Amino acid sequence: MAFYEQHIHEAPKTFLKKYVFSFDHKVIGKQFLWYGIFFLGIGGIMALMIRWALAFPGVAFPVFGNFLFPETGGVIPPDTYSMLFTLHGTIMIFYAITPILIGCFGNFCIPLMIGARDMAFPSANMLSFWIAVLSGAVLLASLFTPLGGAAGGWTSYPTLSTLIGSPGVGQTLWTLAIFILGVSSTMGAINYITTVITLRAPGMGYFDMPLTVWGLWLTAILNAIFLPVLGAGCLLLIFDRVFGTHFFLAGAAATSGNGDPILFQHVFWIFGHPEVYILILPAWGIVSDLLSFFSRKPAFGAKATALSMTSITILSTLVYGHHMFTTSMSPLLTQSFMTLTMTISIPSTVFFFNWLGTIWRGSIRFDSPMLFSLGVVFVFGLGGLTGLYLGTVTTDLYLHDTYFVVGHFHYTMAASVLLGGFAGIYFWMPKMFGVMMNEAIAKVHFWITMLGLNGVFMGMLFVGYGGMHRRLYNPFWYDFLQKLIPINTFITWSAILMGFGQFFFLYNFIHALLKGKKAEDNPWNVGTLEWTIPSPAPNYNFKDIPVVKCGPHELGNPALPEGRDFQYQTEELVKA
Amino acid sequence: MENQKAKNIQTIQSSITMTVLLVSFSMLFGTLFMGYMVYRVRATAWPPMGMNDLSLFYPSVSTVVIALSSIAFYFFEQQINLKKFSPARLYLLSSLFLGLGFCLSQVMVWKDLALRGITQGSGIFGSMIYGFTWIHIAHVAVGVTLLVWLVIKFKNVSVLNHQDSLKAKNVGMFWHFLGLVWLLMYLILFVF
Repeated sequence: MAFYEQHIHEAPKTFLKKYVFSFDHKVIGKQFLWYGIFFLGIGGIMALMIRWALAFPGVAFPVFGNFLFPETGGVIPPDTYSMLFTLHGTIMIFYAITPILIGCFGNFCIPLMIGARDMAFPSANMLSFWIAVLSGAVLLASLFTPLGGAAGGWTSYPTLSTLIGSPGVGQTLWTLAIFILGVSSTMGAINYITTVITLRAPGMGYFDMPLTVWGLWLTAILNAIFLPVLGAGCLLLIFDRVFGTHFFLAGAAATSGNGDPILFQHVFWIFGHPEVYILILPAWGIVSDLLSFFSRKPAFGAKATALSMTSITILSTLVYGHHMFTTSMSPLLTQSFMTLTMTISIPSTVFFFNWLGTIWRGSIRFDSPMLFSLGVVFVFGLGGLTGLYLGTVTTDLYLHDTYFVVGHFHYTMAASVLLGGFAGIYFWMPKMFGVMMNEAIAKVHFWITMLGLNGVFMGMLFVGYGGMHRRLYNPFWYDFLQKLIPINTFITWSAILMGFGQFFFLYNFIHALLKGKKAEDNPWNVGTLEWTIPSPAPNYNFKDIPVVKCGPHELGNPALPEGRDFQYQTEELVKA
Repeated sequence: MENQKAKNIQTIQSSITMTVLLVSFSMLFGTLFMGYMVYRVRATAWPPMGMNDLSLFYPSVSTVVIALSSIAFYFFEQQINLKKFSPARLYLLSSLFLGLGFCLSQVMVWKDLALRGITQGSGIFGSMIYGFTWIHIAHVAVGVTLLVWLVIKFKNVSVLNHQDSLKAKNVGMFWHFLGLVWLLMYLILFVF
């Protein structure tokens, strides 16, 4: 039940108020989209550079290698390689996925899907975006410092991230940038939580909310609780680096009274494991809705899906220790963390089964959002299954820090989230910009991306199982890895293919913005609240606050009149 | 009726936001306390070998001052609810000056520590005292700024508006929270 109706705010008139310092959640959502796409491009180029170094060591990076590394004749040097994998991880997780999945879809979808006119705190929302911009600027600035950007890995474990491991200013700026981004995300999270609780349209109970909103809401709760944990770790790391404290310095590095480098790992993973779910929950929510919409039938076990997501959210806070099995942890603890980790399989299986139940015997429409959603089902399934080996102590001891881990988390965090993000962009493009993207190009984009990413991440699982360490600069130096060279080359060509595939998206996206076919109000024929208003969504969203009378997945009801297979959430449920 | 409903809504929205915000801050300080526990439990001797026990004088002064500031703020809230704005302003000003006094007493804590040869680089013991108090004082600085903002807001108030009363309540929650965090720091860093 909505608590109150927000006023219709006047449309901004000046350029600055309309596009730069806008309070409108839709504009802020789009700003986060541009921000995320920009960093996705940078992180993607870094990924290609990493792959180039692994497949063709000693060969100049094509096109702009000579410009970037003139002193080595275009070859990526080892210290730059460390910087590349550090910043690739950081940028993709914090500056690409987070802004697109949480910043863009969270801002754009939550008010529209719950029938509100804006977020609960529009000015805090705007501030949250501009703090994120400041953080991005600090991170990019770190690349131009004398010793280059951070090179301690995206996890920034001490002592790699202390002054001993990373003496330059780059690592300090990295830590500061993450802290600032944490402030921005926490502000956003508080806004999302309050908005969902207080601004739902009359008649909309929690289980009447689309699963997209469920995913975003749970993500916001995790963000508000666990980002400050990372914030505390970052502050202490900054103190160690700038003011000479000894929190994470041990042995000869500390002058008296040892600190503890492992403590940072605890702090990092107390945040870091929920972070995995922070990233994936919005994608799960989006996919859960889209599978139902494009199968033209109600989401199978929608309540169970929402409750499973909630259970996973709770359990995700209790399992972080499985990232640290190799840190001489007590066997009692490793077994406890292993058991808790395995427990997550139960709710995961429930909602995975619900996804299959949703598409089972559905009248599936293979439009681009559906293709990408099915892609998520496939890659997330693979990612989840490979996680079992890493959550089990005995197998993790062998696989820890190998490319198997890299393949696993790319399947879950990169592939699933990327495909989920694309599904969302193709699906909400009409409501965001009022135009349709070209379906044929979208399908080409899907298949190239799908082939490319599976080549990359499946290959990583193989080389990791073969024993290849995740942070090797040149695997050709090791005898036991010689046989894996062809697979490494294959992975790199797959990555190039995947990168090439993204040009189809870019072309399609830009073409749609400039010359795209005008979208109808409800081109996908679905009943959630955002499709009850014109495309693109008007300034005030809803002229009259809608009254919700049924759930978000009322599709394929045989009692509906001829020629119609869905009903809006604002309509009384048609009964036979 | 509509007016009352709007007020109720604002109160609910404001309490949800403040609760989530304080949970976030609690996680930040909770992480620091967790770190402290790890070091403390593992240490063979505390304070570590070669370190003296700390003087309790300035930390105790800090504790008394921030407690008085919190109490003054509590009376400010009571007075504005009774619509007695003149005494309310006095209590608010007292709370602000006591807040500034807390900042001053923290500077004295650091000076005293330095005189005893304990700096942030004196191993984990010094690191924790300085690191934790720096993070806390940064939040106190925000709190003092909010108190100044309230002083300006309530300078000429004669009729209490609901939004202003919510703002006062939220600043109060934050200020009391910082007092509580300091009390925990005082107990674990200095007393035990």
